[in-house]
Amino acid sequence: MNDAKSIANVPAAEPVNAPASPGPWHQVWRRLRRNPSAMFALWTLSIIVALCIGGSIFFQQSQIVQDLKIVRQPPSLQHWFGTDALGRDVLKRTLCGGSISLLVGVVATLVAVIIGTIYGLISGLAGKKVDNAMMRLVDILYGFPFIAFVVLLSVICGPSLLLLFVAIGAVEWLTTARVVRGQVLGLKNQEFVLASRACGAGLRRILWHHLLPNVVGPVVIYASLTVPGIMLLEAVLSFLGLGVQAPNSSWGSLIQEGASNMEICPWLLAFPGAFFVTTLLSLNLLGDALRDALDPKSLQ
Amino acid sequence: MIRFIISRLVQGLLVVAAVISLTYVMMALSPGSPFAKDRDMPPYVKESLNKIYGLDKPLYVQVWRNLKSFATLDFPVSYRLKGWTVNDIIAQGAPVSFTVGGMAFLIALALGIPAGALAAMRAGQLQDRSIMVAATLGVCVPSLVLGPVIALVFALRLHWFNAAGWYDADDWVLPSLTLGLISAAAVARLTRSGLRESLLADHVRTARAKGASEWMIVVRHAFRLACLPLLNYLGPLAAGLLGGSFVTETVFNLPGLGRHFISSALHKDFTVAMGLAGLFAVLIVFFNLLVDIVQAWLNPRIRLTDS
Repeated sequence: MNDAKSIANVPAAEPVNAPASPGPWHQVWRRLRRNPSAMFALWTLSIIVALCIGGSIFFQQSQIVQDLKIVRQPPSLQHWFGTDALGRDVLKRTLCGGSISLLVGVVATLVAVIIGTIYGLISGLAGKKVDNAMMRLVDILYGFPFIAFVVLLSVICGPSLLLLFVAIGAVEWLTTARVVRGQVLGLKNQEFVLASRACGAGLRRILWHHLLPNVVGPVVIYASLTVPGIMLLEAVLSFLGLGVQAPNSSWGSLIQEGASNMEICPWLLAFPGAFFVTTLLSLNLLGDALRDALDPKSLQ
Repeated sequence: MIRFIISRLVQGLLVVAAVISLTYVMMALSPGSPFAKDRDMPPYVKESLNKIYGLDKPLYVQVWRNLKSFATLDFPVSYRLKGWTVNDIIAQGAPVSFTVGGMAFLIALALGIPAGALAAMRAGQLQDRSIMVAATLGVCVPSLVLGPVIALVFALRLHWFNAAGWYDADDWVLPSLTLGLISAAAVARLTRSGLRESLLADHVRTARAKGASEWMIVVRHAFRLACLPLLNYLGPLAAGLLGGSFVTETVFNLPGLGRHFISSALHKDFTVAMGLAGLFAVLIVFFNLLVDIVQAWLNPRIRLTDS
């Protein structure tokens, strides 16, 4: 989840060739640290993620306990976010729902990024004919009404959440594939790759040591902008009643409950909505900041 | 140019056919039956229903039959809504979705482009900062949050409009506003970043050296280049808005295309789902082609080749 931190860790996990000079990821991290909106986003996101994970560990059982004596109570000291129409604590439900929304966002993005990276690598490395055919397929798939297919998939998959992650991920890989292919095409004829090849490096070495490390940057940027998109998609599905099934919750289904009760108990909409919007905002800010930090040419 | 358009149209037809077939196959593979009712029906009734609608044939025969009926514009009947053909349902939902989506698109352009242009011209100043904060927020507020809030404020509290339904002539306002504001935020961001780059271009510097006013420079010289990335966003946006937003139509209870699609998918109304998915694909193909043509017209350096 914590994208920028994991980036900062990359050089440690994978020693760079010139240990004397700080690697490019150090520079990225330094630029990020100087960017106030990036740090704001990072902190907010860390807090929300920690709260949601903690909440889902401690309240997984009690969040679905109904207490009809305390139905629809406004926020109070006992129930900070109030209670819903079945007397359940909205704070607990928001945190548990959030962990599901975040999990969907991360897992589906991983699926999308893995498929897209492999597809893009093959397309970029294979000859012109294969590349043309593969990219034409991507062009054609761009013409598909995706949200309609996700709705269909969720109807078919039924209430199985895991299948839904995979389904969403499987339709969201197109842009990653394009990005990776573009990078590979640009890289594969550069001097350092040619030199490595001249020294007798095989395809596997070039792939692991030269292509993939250079592809990581754009992929990370794109992934950090994909997570909010996918969380939105999950929220839409849950809002339409096609995603998470009761008594479980996600931010989408909580917002739906809130929207249908908003006149009498606005806190049902306000708290899950605020958490959701804040998370999307942080992810977008972080993605923008990463793009600026990784691309020295980009305008402020 | 003509060759490009023809080849893209052929490709588009293939996409639409693929979307229709894929929708059918997905629906056919999912559990349940379009004729399922609360009560179990005797097997012989089910058998004869399947026979009437051709569901007893092998899958490829069914797909081919439906493709043929779409291709000859002899639209198939709905499995659930007795007496309705697919084009009846589209004719009923399209005016709603097109009105709401079209107005939302206009709102997005009318708000987003001037705001983005102003931000680019005053880059770094207070106006730029405040516009960009608003736009970033707008991009992150999803319609499922904004829609209920707008309904709460303008309908339930101020009583200016109906909260839901499609009865009065002004019922498009709130849903269009919801979709339009969100899209305007993205349009403003794209306009700003595009203009920022093109305001530094050589021909803009020449225009400035000739003494053209700043608005003149933006309108006549810079915007042409700046709107190329914007156009790439506007094509899919227009297709998505006109096809009807699932969420907004649900929030405001509009009888549009999006609602019809969801209920057809849920109730296994194969033919309606196929028709609507096909229509969505037609919209996407059409607007993508339109974007390519407009881009080539705006920037003659883009050559339309299809290889």
